[in-house]
Amino acid sequence: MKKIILIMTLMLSLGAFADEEGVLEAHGNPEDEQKCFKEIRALACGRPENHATFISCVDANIKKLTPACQVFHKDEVERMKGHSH
Amino acid sequence: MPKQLTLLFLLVFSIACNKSDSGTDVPTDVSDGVETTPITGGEEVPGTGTGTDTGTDTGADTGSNNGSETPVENNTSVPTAALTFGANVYFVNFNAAQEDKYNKAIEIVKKVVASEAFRTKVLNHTYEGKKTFVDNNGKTNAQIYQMILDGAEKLQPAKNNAMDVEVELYYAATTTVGYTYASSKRIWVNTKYFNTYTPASVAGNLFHEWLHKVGFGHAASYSVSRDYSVPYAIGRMISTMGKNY
Repeated sequence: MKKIILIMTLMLSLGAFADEEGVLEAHGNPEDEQKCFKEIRALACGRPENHATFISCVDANIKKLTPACQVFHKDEVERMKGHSH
Repeated sequence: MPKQLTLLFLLVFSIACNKSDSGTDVPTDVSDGVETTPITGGEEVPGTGTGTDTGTDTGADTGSNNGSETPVENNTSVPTAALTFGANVYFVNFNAAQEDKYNKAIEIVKKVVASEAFRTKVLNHTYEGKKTFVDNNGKTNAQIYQMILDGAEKLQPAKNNAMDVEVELYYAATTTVGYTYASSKRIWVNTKYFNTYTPASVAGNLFHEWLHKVGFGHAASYSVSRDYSVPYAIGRMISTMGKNY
């Protein structure tokens, strides 16, 4: 009985304090997106759909981007993770 | 020990049951993580009329067909629903000038949606030679156009021929122009951009976010196809065509 109550308490704790906000959808300013996407795609890091590889490549070449797009890229990576707004 | 466990269980159970739902119809002002219900004295529930100005929260109903019985004369080739498309927008953290700009953006949205040019662009949108949108949830262009006119959001599925959103302004020094959560009716707009945007750009951003509420998403990557998704492509149509108004 004690074990059952403990397990149910733990399960409810997970449910009670879990983040119920749902998926975060955030995006950058369209003008920045157009400009910076162009710079980022020019790095020739392969297909963006190969997300991890693509992002690692962009990160490795980030100094080739303009300063504004370096900032944009860092923010965009956080937005993609659903972390940033 | 069993007593303590039982008490702990009851406490956690009551917390779980009393968690507020972010998708309720009654608007709440969420700031700094603290939810407060709006002042109810003289203030109306959004979507039913103009709310009183409490200094931070205002409600504005700009819907054009909330129970209206007046028939609309339609001498165009667009459906009547395009001409009557409305908006029920609840503002949070807006000053008068910002609300005025947003209302202008809403009017731009209505005028663009009412146009034959918009209908043509949506129906004829192509991606890789096919008349389709990316991430279209299996819908044809015609079905997507109809969904816009229906005005049914995931969290408010009634087809009321209107956009129903809450909009909250915030400031962040990031490059994020705005965000929303799938589980919330609210869209957040960054004043870092909003304050310098034209009404046409605001209209494009509003429609992009509203299409998320209708249920359309897009790739979360740098993929080229993202530009051809419903929120991006149609949001861009609104802001481009909106420059004419």
